[in-house]
Amino acid sequence: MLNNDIIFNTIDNGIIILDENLNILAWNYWLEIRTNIKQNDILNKNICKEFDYINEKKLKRKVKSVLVTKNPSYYNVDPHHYLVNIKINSIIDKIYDSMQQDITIVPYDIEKKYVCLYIYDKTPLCKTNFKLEQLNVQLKDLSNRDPMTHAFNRRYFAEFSNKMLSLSRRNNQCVCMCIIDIDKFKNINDTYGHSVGDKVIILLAQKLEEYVRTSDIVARFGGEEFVIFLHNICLDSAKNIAEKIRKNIEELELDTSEGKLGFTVSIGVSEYDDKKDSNNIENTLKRADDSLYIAKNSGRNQVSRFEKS
Amino acid sequence: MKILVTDDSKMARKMIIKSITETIKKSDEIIQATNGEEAVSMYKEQNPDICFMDLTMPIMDGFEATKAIIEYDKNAKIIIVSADIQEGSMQKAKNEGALGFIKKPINPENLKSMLVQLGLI
Amino acid sequence: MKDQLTLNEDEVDCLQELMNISYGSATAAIAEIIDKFATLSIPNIKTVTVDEFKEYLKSKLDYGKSHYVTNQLINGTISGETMFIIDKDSTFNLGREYDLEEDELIEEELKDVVLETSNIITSTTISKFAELINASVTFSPPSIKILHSIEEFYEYFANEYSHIIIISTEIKFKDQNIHGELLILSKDDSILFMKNALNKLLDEF
Repeated sequence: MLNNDIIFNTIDNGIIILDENLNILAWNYWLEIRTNIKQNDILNKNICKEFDYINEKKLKRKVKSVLVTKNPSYYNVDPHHYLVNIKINSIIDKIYDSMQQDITIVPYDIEKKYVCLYIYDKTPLCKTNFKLEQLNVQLKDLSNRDPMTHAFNRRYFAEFSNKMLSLSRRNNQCVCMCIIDIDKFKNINDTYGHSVGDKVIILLAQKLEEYVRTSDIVARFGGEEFVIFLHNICLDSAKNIAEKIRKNIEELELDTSEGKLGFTVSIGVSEYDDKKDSNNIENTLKRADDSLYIAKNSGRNQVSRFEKS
Repeated sequence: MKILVTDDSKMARKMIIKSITETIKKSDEIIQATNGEEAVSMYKEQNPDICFMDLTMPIMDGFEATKAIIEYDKNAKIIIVSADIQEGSMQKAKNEGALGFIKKPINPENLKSMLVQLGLI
Repeated sequence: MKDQLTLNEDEVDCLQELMNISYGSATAAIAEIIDKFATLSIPNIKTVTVDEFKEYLKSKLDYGKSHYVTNQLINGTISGETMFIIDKDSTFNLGREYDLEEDELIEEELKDVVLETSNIITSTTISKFAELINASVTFSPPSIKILHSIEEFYEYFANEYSHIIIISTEIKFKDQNIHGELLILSKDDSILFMKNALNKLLDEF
């Protein structure tokens, strides 16, 4: 019979042998090095007394499970981040304080009721997953948002508004659109330069976020155009909200090297109409756009709503 | 000895019959029923010496069949054969009049000792 | 060719009985481990195509409820996969069967309880079954997902198999309203192996 001692002490995993009462019968070199506890010092001690953070009820049950089923049982990383707390020493690229572990428990001697625990260091895998998740969030954000203003983009708006429309229709709620366009934006760019123009757009995006509720969304449609989706609001209320927005923006001032700069917006408002729009938010948008046109042609810095003809 | 084996699964009946023939060496006649109702009518017609009865069967289950057979013949010798041994089931079967309870797959040694204990062989 | 992969009446009957016996071991194991009694219903055996399987899953997932689904691979002479499906409400009750305190009924702990239950039932059932047909098996660690809709599940589907055998059983706990389902899935060449083993057994008896 080949001697397994070498494997026991060179394998890149922790190995613990326990009896059914959770007393430690073996503790390999991998663990000695990482915990600074020698096998001789921990033999025959109860693992839960030595490491009091271990859930005794659960470990006992898992050991019992292994002895009854005569098959492996697992301590998964998801709920349990580690069995034995081993601190991580790295300075660079540190995400976790303690080693993330996966534990497999297998039968060792059924008659004597001994089990063997294997501890795997899952930290590198967890780190990779964590970074991947972060990147995913960033990616999602990138695909949904306008890079300059960080407002949602048109694509996301379409997705969102369709979903919200279905929901609102099911609940018999009204839905309104506001299209907001900066007045004489070209003049601002020509007079103050494009970087100031950009600052105006960014300021507008910021303020619009502040003026709406969390259930509504603001999206940047074009260069100086924004759209707001208002849910559970009817046309009259929408017009009032739009008017408030217009007034607030009129009072804004941006500091520039040429002095303080103010600007105004024109707003077109419309309400989703089942008969006219047949479950297509684009039609509602078109009517808001038409209202916007009226606002622009009536002197700007005003709100116009689509009147039912 | 005439033996009645009742189980809705053909495979189960085959397995039970094999264990019986390994245990009871005498040449026996073995008759089969596929559900409780059939078991009751076969019992009345053919009067077997021992019955091996499964519990979960369509039309009439093992408990009801046991009850019906005991009502017909209070000395009927019925042994329940089941994959699932529950305290509750064992007690219920005993209440209905079964003599014993054996777990599937039948271990011929266990069957032998049970039959000896019950004085059937 | 396809007919080779469906089970005939005798084979189904044999498989049914072997599964019956195997599930018996599983309930005994649960009783011994957590000291609570569960019953496993008579297994239902079906052979389906991948598309039919998707339809089948759809019918299992109660709309409007979230479900935990675990997945475990079976390796060896019989190979396949098991799935354990349990809705969220049943899971809370299952947690109580495992003597979890009310403040322990959180997602992390519940996932563990579901994984463990699935592991116990799968390993005892399949080990027993393997023993009965003289096969050898090992298992991979189970994984778990929370599903809010069937579409989420379809993303991970392997479409290569022509036939899938579903062996399903319902798990009920006596006092609590806990309802879960265990599916044992086997496909293509494993089905052939199983047929051979079943026929060997049928001839032996």
